[in-house]
Formats: sequence, C-alpha cells, structure tokens
Amino acid sequence: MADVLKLVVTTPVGLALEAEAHSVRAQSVKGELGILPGHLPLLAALRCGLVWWRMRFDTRVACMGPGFLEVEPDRVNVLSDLFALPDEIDVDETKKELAAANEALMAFGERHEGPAYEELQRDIDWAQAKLDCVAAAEKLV
Amino acid sequence: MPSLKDIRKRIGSVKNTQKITRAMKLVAAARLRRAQQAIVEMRPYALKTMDVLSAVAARAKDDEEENVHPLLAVREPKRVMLVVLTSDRGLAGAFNGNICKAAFQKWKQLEAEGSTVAFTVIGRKGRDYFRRRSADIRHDFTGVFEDLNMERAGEIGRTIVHEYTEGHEPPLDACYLVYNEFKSAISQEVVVEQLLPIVPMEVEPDQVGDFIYEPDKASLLDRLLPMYVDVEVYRALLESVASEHGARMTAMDAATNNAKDMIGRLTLQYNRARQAAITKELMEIIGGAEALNG
Repeated sequence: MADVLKLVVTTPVGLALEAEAHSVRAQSVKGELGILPGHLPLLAALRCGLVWWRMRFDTRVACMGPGFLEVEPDRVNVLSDLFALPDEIDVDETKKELAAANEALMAFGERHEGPAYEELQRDIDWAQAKLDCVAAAEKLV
Repeated sequence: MPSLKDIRKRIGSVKNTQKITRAMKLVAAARLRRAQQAIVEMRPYALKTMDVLSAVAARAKDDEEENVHPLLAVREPKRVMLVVLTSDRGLAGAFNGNICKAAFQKWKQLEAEGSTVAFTVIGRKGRDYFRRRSADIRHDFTGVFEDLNMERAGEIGRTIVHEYTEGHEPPLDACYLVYNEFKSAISQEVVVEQLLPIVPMEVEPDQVGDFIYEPDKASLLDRLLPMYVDVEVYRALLESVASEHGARMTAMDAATNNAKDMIGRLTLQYNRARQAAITKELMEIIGGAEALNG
C-alpha cells in the first residue's frame, strides 16, 4: 500500500491544487477529520473552513468554501466552489469584506432566513475562513 | 442621381461603420477565447460533482424508496418553470431571436399539454421579449455576463431551487433550462434541458464502492443536489456566453464584408458619376468652341 496520498482540489475555475501528502486534515460539517493513506472510501460534506496537508515535516494550510471530500485508497478529492492559499489572501481587503457583510447582516434584524440572508452568511463564512487561514499559516511557520 | 458630394459622404459613413463592426468582431473573438477557456476549466468540476451525486443518489435510492428528496422526486409536470438564457446586448445575429423563439414554442407546447408555465429569464433581451408577451416572470437577472463567475451562478441556482421547493403554492413540478449550446465559433444550437427534478446517471450497483458517508446519505444529498443545480446553471451560462460571442463574431464578420461590398459599389458609382461630370464638361467646351467656329 502506498504511504503517500494525492490531494486534488477541484474548483469551477480548474484544478486549484495537486499535492502529495502523508496526511490530510479537513473540517467536515460534524467536526474535524484526518485522513491517512489506506483510509476506507469516504464521502464527507465539508463546511466552509480550513484544510491542512502534511508532507513529512512540512504542513501546509489553505481555506475553502463549503464542499465535499471524497477519499479513495491513495487519493483525496476535494470539491468546492471557493479555494485560496494563504499567500493569495489580502488580509486588509478581507477584513473590509467581513465588516461590510456583518454590517449588512445587522440591518436584517429579526428575520434570519431567506436567500438574501443565506447569501450574506456565506460571504461572512468565507471571509472568516480566509482570515483563519492566514492566522493558521503564520502559526505553522 | 445623387451628387458627387453625397456619394463621398456615404462612402465615409459606411467606412466608419465598417471600422466599428470590425472592432466588435475582434472583441468578440477575444471574449470567445476566454469563454471557451472557462468551459474547459469548469469541466472536471462538473464531471466530479455528477459522479459523486450519482453514486450517492444510487445508494440512497436503495435505502429509502418512499422518502425521496424533493429535488429528485419526479411528478407529472403540471407546473413548469422555463429558465431562459439570453444576452444583455444585441448585435449578435439571430442569437437572441432563436432562443426566444424556441422558449416561446416550448411555452405554447406546454400550455397545449395543459401545464402552466412560469419563467426565470436571464439577460435583458429575453426579459423584454417575455415581458411584452406578458409571461409569468418569477425572477429576472440582468448584467450577469459582465462578471460571470461561480458566485453569480450560485445565486441564480439558489433562487431557482428556492422557487422550486418553497416558492409559490402549489409548487413547481419541473424546471427546464433553455439555452444556446456552443458547438463551434460559427454554430450554436438551442437546447431545452431538464434541470429539475435532477436525473442522476445510472450507476451499476457493483460500481458504487462501499463508502462511509459523513454525516449520512440524506444530508449529503441535501447539500449535493443544490450544488449540482449551481454547477448546471454555471455550465449553461458559460455555454451561452461562448455562443453569444460566437454569434456576434459571425454577425460582425458578415457585416464587415457587407460594408466592404457596399464601399466597392459606391466607389464604382462615384467614379462613374465623376467621369460623367468630366465628359459633360468636355462636351460643353467642345460645343462652345464649335459654336464660335461655326
């Protein structure tokens, strides 16, 4: 059995990442999960958050929107419409986005439902994930 | 007979038009290349989503016959929504005309079969067309193509799903996409495609590996199905954009050629008129000289 996993992240704008890893860690809707080579086939729903992968002693992190993770014996497929590596993220810009989205959310008041509200919630989750990602990347170095 | 000055002016204006059509053709060609690129980039994602969805749907079907997910449930199509993809701008040959005509035919055909038809229209041209015919437009989107990305497609997709599952009472039974499929730079084809309920690909039972599902199949379907709708909408949008630029390119190429022919014809006419004027003057001079001699 192979002792390396192939991590492939696919987004609507093409393959976002193709990397080899000894282990992959991701955040599912229920909690965090770690994948090692030889894992049983698994299909998990991922929430908007972070994904880590480790090659020997080198751990990397990236953030992604809500999506799916499919595990084959020597391959991990991640599907999401959003994906960003830490060095692609503009922290100041993201903070502005987050503040703007939060403000818009406040204007909603009591009615916490409907497509427009969900749209905003998605924006907030994504901005937060990007900020978390930068913070996590700094901790790794 | 138009005067020399009139013809010269006319040639000038046709030349200007030709410059514009040629520029539009070049712009359309550049945009077409980008749109094609986007389709290629999008393909693996769409395939993978369909793969995963089909595998889960096939599995879920075995488990719970009676409790089918609302986006998969097949009912008799009594209330139907047509999602029509047109463009915001004209000057693209028969692009918008074809799509509107096809959607209109489908509308009348569905009504003849006893269904009621609602619309979601994307693009200014289609919106105006169906508004004039007082169709039941539930949602319309314009300006989508200026900055087309998955986010925008997702918004449209979620609006459609929302309308389908918890929109008006009584609920919709089916939803069709009407759009131009991109065949090549010079040809597009109008297609009417079923978007909802979703029909998963048939998967051989033994091909579906023994997966662990987290959290469980039903919740996974809950997330996968709307995502699939987004992907389908995005794909249709990209196809439509590529077709639009292809159609515009062809139309503008034809316009440029027509302008060239017209300039040729006008130049000929101009030269003839000029020659006629010269001849006329010569005749007058000769006539005058003859009269003096005589």
